[in-house]
Amino acid sequence: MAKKIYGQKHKADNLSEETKNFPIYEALLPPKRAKSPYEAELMDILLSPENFKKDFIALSLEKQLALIKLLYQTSEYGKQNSLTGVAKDFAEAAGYHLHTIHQYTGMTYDEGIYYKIAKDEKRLIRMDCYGCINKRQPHQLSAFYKYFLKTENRGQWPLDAYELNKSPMWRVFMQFAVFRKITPVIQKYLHRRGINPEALKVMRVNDFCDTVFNAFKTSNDDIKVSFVKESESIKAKFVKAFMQVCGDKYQKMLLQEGYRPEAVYSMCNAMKRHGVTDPSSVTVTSLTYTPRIIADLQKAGYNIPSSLTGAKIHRDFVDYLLEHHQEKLIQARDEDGKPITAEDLPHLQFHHLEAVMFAGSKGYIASTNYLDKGLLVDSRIHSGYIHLFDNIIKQNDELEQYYSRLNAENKNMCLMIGFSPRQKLFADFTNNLEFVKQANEDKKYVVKYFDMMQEVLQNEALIAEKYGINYSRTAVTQVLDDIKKIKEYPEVDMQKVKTFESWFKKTHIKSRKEKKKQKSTAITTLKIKEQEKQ
Amino acid sequence: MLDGFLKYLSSVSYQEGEPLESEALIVAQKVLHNMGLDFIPPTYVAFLKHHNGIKANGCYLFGATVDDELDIIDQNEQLPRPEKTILLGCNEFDLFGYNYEKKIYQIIDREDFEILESYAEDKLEAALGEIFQA
Repeated sequence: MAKKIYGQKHKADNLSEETKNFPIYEALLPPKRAKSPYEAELMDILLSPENFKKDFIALSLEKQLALIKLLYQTSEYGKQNSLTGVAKDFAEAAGYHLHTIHQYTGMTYDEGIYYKIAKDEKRLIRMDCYGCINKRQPHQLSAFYKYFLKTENRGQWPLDAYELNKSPMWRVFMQFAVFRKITPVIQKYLHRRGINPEALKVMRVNDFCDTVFNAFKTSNDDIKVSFVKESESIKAKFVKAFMQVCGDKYQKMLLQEGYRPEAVYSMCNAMKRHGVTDPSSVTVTSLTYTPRIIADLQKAGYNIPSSLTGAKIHRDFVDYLLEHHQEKLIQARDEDGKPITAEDLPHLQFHHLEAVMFAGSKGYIASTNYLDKGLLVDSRIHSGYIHLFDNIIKQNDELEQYYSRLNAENKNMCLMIGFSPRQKLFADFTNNLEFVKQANEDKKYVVKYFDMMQEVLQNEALIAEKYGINYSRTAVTQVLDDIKKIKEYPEVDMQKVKTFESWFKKTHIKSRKEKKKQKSTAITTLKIKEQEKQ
Repeated sequence: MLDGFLKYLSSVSYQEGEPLESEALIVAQKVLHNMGLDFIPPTYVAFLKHHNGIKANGCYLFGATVDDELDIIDQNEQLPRPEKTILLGCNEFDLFGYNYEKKIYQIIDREDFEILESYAEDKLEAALGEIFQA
């Protein structure tokens, strides 16, 4: 059955007969557009747009998103091509309609210059948010780290020799509270593995990721490990904080939207308790006792009399069963006895109101995942609306870039499950005591990534000499790439970098003349060996 | 080749698309091709035979499924994506794509399209581990 439905869904042309027979559509819309099954209905709105806002509000979320996509494509097509006549007017109108939608939704464009943050910093922001780390691949590790991992280069050093707070790259990690918390674990792990403490001077972000992964893995098959309890990741904490402040309003909102009360209560309870946003992870529990539930509870040893049929299940008892992983005993079922799921409820994603890429320009990287920067948004709106308008104007390797991005006008917006005002919630988290304490503590650990990277490069040169480690071709390329990036950083001490660059090139990059000489020596040696053989 | 990831999946809650039908896969391949994209890479098709699209806690892996949020065609039409790339999934920060010109899997920052990680075709498991932050 599924294959037929899937085939029908993606027929080459989903347009209705009426639409197909109306050639003006093709003249007005971009030729290479994503064709929506709702195109005919949406075009009716666009061809008589007097009540555009009202018509937009009346549409289902799917159709609203399809309309936005159509308007976006049409408007962009108009900007990129010299259209004339009706097509030009239509493309311009598409831009106005989008503006109307943004106004209604309370969204506006953020535009300006920003400095790119390093990929390593982006990695850390992701790890901080999710509280987990995935296995690194050998090609992601540095040559120096690999050298120190070799058995023959390991040994015994005292625990206090592992001064992680002096390691340039671990200091980048330590900007985040979560990594400060696990620092003793990493210190003990490095000590136990007998890694030379000198490695700390040259280990890069991916090398430390490998160390954290190994320190927390429970088996050799692991591909991902959590270094904080799942319910204590930043994302989970945000959801819990949101529920603390807005939980009742969110619950009421979902009930007003017409979702099943059992699913709403179970979902909200899971959000409060565990900070989850995924409806598939939630067992929907019944609100009242049914004969089946009573029988199951009695079987499990609970003294619940049959006379309670139809009575409300007390919240404390539900929580007790959840605590003891016995929620299946009170699972809600429909008229046919099938378990009710929460899958229809909005699938929320964590969106950063202030783009992650701004972390270098606005504040410090640890602040990226703060409570006041989060917005829980329906995943369809996240992808099909908010990120649709992301735009980097100057996309090149330079650090300074111009951006344009859709953002909430009211920075306190913390939930959005639809375009209507009744489908949004607002809260000010900046007064949250824990939040203020955290921000003050984090500020003490702020470092500049590129300063730390410079230190690593210089340490590498010293360590290479001390231990006779040769820079491989890959390592040389990596260093030159790092130098290039450091030079783009606005506050860098250029003289210092240039001195290092010139020394590095002189020491590690052979000139053509040298290469030629080396090649000629090798050939002569080979010839001599061949002559000796003869 | 995917054992580690499949084992990991067994430890988390998720929703998945209906089992992959060969006809649905053909439809997906044809439509993607007509959209000017390439075919779904064979290693990812092998994964779809185990799980035809998955969503969990803000992470999505797309398949040839009727669920719009997981449908590889709908998502490639809907989401902004870099050139020469088929989108295979996403999380809250990144897109997961296959660059069919370079024949590699990539983790792509959804804000500025910066390539954060690249994985050879036979390293799909590592790429899945990177994008699936559930």
